[in-house]
Amino acid sequence: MSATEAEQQVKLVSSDNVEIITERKVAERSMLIKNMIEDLGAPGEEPIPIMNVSEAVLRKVLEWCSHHKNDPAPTQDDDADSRKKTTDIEDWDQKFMQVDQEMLFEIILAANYMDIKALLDVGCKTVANMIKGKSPEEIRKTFNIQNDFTPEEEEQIRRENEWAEDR
Amino acid sequence: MRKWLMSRLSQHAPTASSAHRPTMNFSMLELPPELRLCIFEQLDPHADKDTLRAAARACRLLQDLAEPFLYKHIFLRTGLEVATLLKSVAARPARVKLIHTLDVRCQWGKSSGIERLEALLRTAANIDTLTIESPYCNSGRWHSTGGAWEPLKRALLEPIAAASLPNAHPDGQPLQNLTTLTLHLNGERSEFWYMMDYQADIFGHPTLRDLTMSCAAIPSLSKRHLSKYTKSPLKRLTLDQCQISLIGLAALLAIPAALEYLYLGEYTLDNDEQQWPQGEEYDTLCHRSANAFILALGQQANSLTTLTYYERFSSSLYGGRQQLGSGLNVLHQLKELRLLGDTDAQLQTMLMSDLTSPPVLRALHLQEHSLLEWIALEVDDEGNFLQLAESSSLPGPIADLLSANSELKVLQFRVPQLYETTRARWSGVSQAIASLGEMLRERGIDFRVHLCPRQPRFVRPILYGEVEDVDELLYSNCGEAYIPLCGHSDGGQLIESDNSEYEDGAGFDGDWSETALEQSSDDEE
Repeated sequence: MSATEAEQQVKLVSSDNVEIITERKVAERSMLIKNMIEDLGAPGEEPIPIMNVSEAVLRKVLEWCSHHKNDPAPTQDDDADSRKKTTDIEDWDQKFMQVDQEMLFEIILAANYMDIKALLDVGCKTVANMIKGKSPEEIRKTFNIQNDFTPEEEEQIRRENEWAEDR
Repeated sequence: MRKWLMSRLSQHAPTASSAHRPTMNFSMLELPPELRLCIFEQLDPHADKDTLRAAARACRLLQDLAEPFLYKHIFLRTGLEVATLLKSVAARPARVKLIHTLDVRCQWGKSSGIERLEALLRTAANIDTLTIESPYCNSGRWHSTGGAWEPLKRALLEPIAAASLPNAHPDGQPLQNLTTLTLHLNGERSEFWYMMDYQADIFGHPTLRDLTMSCAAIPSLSKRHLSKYTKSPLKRLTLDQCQISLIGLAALLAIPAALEYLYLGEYTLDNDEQQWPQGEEYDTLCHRSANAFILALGQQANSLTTLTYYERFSSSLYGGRQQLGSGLNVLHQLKELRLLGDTDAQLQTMLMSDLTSPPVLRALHLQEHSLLEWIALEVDDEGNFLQLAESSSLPGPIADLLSANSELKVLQFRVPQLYETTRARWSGVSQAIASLGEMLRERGIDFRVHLCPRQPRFVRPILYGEVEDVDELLYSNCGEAYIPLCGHSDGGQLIESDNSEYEDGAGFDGDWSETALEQSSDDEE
């Protein structure tokens, strides 16, 4: 992609029919959009509908894309590795993810749909960190989960998984 | 155009999320399954075990998400832990399918009951990585006579051997996904465990790709018994501190279809071990018969790319020379060769001629005694090393080596002992090494000299809780500048040793080299 191409404007349309104009380079953090622009040619002429993402979420996703527009593309190799290694999230992303749970899950859904792997990872890591270190009751509270175990069942599962106690 | 675009976009939309319409109480559980999985993949199965256990009790859906991670890697040391695991598998039999790694490191005094794992091994279909370590070998009780290990060993090994029998099990049967197996089974009554024919069946396992065995005595296995295995998928074989017979080696190397990596470590620790069964001749294989040794290896000539041979010391190592049938040139795919221990002189000689050296060898690692020989040093009356060759030309043996191995890119030496070398003498060695390194660099060859730890904390095999000592880099000619040597000296300098400090009993504490360098310059004044 040449410099002029990178600065080209593309027009996206959210699920609630709002047009958002952004830099091509920013939009192409989304592999979905990138592939479409490559297939279609002549970006900017046709608006690109992002069918499952509302305006508010799309603006949030594009904010992330704009901050990360110059990130190097991940290689296949460190992909599998880095995901397992750590739930560390860089500071800017941590702040970015300080949103209510509904928005957080919407971002994850949008990142998945728009095929933005790095954003999907940050989203999932954020949720994983919300689970970490919590008791079953705290997990239920945090995520508004109904307890479908009887106290006896819960106790039985605790005993069954005891072998995994840390030594 | 627009219509086409719309249809294309809807193809991309995952069904679960497109069906989803967010509500105020939108929860993690409403994410599509692949995204919930993605969240749990961010947790570390070891460090976040408590979190996974808690999540498994939060609700049924999270239990189904968390338990595959809890049961994926199982690490056990005691019979008690085995009992709890078996109970939990009995409560939910599906859990046995979740197990992918089973790491059994029997703890001394607490291993009673571990034999009950046999039942699990006979049902676990998805285990891909299995490690078994005897309670004896890792507790300093190498000759104990508890009597408990033999039945335990049999209980754990028999399911693996049974799973190896050809056509014994259709898909989905126990241990038919095993790819990596590590066995440290010695310690009761002997420093070795003697491999029976039926145990050698493991080499023929239909999915096994990586096998490590330590302290096994591999006698003359029955070729007839093993002949039913012709094409096992084994790619990597490590025999560490093993007593190996030539016939046993030949029988084992006949089994894999295309072995790529072989670590052949003879037993180097103790020369007094009883040879059993009577009449077996173990180790110093190349010295016993270089022809038979190369014939055995040659069975894997079409695939073997990496070979390490750790040869045991033999007092008659430099004895008579045999008439050779063929040389290492039969190993026509071999790219990396390590000759450690007391390498037979014949093997080294083979590397000096393009008729007997592996034709595409790229990396060669050797022990120290040949280094001194090869950098053309001679000891004078006062015990100093004198450099024989002009420092501007390659020493003869190195020149021979390079002309015999045109593909060679890496040459490394391991220096196991410096304490016999006085400082003054070592200074001569260091100059010779540095000038050799320079010449090799001009020829594009990565040349390094490593120092093995003088008093290693652990000897091989490396068992649970042990970390192998790393060789220290003494000299390297790589890159633009020399690699600084562990912060001890300026780049390009060889670290020099001081004999007296060894005699004081001081190890490599990080200071000796600087002291030695200073003292060495004092001497020159």
